[in-house]
Amino acid sequence: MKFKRRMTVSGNIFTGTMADIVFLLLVFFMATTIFKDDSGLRIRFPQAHPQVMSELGKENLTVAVWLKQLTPGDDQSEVVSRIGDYDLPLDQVAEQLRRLADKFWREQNKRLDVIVLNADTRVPMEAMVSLFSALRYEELYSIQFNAQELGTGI
Amino acid sequence: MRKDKPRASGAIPDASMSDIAFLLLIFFLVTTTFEVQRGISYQLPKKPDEQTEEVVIDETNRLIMTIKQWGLGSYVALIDQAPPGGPLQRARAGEDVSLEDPTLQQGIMALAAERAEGMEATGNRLLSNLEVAKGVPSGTYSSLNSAVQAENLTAIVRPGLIRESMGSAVPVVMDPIFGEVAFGDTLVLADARQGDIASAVRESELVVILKFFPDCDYDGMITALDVIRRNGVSRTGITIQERLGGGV
Repeated sequence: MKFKRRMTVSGNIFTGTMADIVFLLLVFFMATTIFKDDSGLRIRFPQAHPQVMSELGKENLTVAVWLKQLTPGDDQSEVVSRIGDYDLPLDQVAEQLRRLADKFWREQNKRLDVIVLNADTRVPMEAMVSLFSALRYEELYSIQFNAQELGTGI
Repeated sequence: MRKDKPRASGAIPDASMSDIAFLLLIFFLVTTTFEVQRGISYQLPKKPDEQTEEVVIDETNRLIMTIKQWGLGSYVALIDQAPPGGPLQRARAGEDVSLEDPTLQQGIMALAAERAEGMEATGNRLLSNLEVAKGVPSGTYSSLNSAVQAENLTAIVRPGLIRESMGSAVPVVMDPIFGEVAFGDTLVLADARQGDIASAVRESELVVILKFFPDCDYDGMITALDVIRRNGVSRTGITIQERLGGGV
């Protein structure tokens, strides 16, 4: 009588496709990763000592505002501002931020923590102080003036 | 018998392919850094209304400076009003001085250090920050000591910039929870599991009001804030020269 041989199971793990899998993962993440784009204005940041600066926690809900003069250095030049992808006049910034804060609260039950100001070094203080007054009027009090570390160059 | 010539194989060796891919993956994982936004934090004053009381700053705690721009990136301060009997009133009244002037900076630091707040004020702020961080209603803990014991927290003192600048002249107080606390130090309450939970800086009661010329640029404001923060002042008002009040 002829007995059939039992099938043997190999102890090796087949790793021939490992490289394909890793490359596939690499290509997938390379293709799908989207870096957060601030789509801000081209500005020159002011510089400050690293020890007086703080960084915002990841849990903070923030909105970035970009400010720049159309012709930097010219006192009469208009200050343009950008929030997200939208350009708007300076006198509408506080109102728009209030609308955004209300939207966050209404839709996500989250409070807008900090307004991050990315302003060009040459924006005149008259414009900045009028923005601060408007923010106070809209009850938005917490600001961060973004800056570069002193000595890091521009 | 004729020996066969060695033939070149058509296959490309790909055994090390996975090693290369892993190496690349690990290299980019380790070296990639994401840009972190850093800046100077600032709290605007509450808007004036019927409920908010107007804050009046006593002249002994008030330093008013006008900031002017002298060319690109160069700023000068004119001391309009300094606390009576202090260093800046005697030496610098009515004179334009560069913001980088060491006498001006030392004067601001001396005024700030003389007005370093008591531990009770810092402790109350820390307690309030702790309640916010824990998400509990205000007044949950009767005192800082009871909060530290109830939550099993560790009290840590982080030395500030002023210790380095003033050396042994820095005003120091002894606290039963934190021990030796100097002006400008940060008090931290930490938990073994979550790390730092709440913090508060021992501040100065000195308020510096910065009055900017309207055409002074934003860089001047950051430079002025940088100078006064480095010298121990955290309470600042920002306004422009023509306006009265506001920004405190």
